[in-house]
Amino acid sequence: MTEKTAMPEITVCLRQAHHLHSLSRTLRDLRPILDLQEATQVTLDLTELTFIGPACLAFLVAVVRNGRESGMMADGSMIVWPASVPARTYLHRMDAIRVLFEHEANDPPDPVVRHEASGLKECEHFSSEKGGRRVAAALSKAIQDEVDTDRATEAALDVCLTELAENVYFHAEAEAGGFAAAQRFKNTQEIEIAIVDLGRGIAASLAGNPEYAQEAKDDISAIKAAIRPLVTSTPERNSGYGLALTRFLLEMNDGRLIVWSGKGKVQFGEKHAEKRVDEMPGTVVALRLHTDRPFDISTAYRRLNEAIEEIEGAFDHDDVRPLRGNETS
Amino acid sequence: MTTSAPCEAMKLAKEHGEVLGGRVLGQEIRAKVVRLVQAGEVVTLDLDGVLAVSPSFADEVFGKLPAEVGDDAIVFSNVSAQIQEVADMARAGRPGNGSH
Repeated sequence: MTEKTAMPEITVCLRQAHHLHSLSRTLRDLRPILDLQEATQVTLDLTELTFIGPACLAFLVAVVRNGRESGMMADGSMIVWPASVPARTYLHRMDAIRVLFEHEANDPPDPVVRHEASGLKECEHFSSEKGGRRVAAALSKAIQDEVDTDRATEAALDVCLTELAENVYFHAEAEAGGFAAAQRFKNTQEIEIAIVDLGRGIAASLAGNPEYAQEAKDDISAIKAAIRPLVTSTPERNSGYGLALTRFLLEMNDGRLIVWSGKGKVQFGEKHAEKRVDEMPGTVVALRLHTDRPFDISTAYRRLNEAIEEIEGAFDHDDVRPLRGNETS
Repeated sequence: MTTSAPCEAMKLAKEHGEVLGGRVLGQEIRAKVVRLVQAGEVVTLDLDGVLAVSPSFADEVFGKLPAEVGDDAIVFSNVSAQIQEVADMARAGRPGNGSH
């Protein structure tokens, strides 16, 4: 008679509030799940969780989905929902349960009446370029509804978020896809948007282009390179404008763009900062923008062009043949 | 001698919305235009009502497409100043389209 081997078990707790600035704590708390080497019954204990912002939530959902899909979080793993009613309601409103249990046959646990997701955009999962496009459009639409921006602002956001979501599809090689969430913070008149993947990270992606072999050796250098226009791991296919355009849009808005990939974390905008941090599996891109300041894509494109001119040196618009047609400009 | 015939304009805002984003959408439109051009047509892409295009979309439609089929095979109409700027950027970044 063979003795049945007991399934390993661990308990992982998220306590108190998890804001964008405390994402490193979220990472540390969830690290045991990321480090699993064998199928394990995981109890994710959120009893003492009081708040979780979009970036931390998207990361949490990515970790759990990845753990479940890889089989490391074995059957019998469970989530203990927050004791705090607002926190539990918030997770429901953010649709975290649907995303976490998307492939489950059983109904999600702890059913409550779902309220309208006022002031926020639910957590979304996407695993294709078209899915990313859909999520980007939904995010920008939700933000427009919330802050009563004009259609041009919504279009600008849509363009930026589409580019960021595309990065997941074209560069990250993330098996579990990408995760996005957004929330408006009325007290600071800001919106936080996060796009997260647990893929190979920016440095590994950039290493695919020999031109950036040097930058790819270091996570901070890789992030700073990726933010420059024309830098891409796949020049034959991509143009490398996405992060650069987002950066210029946010700079004009006095907002922040935070990119955390591997052991590098760089904040662009309001206050530039870069530091070496605990290793993030994949990439987190978080945008924090002000709802009461301009978000002008025309100027952003102009600045992007100026940046390209600086990089190219000899770049001259006169060299570019005009489009054939009856342009109205 | 073959002559190219103009075909009905593809109204991009009507078909795909006011914001044209995503490389895959750009690829789809590029493939459709290539097929029409190969069938001997001159294709008009009408951008009336388009508010913004993403850089990746622009790369496919303004950058790669003219390089692939030739400038004479496509006509871009109702291009706003802002989209023109993105288009120029995309064209500048692709071989066979002028600069670098």
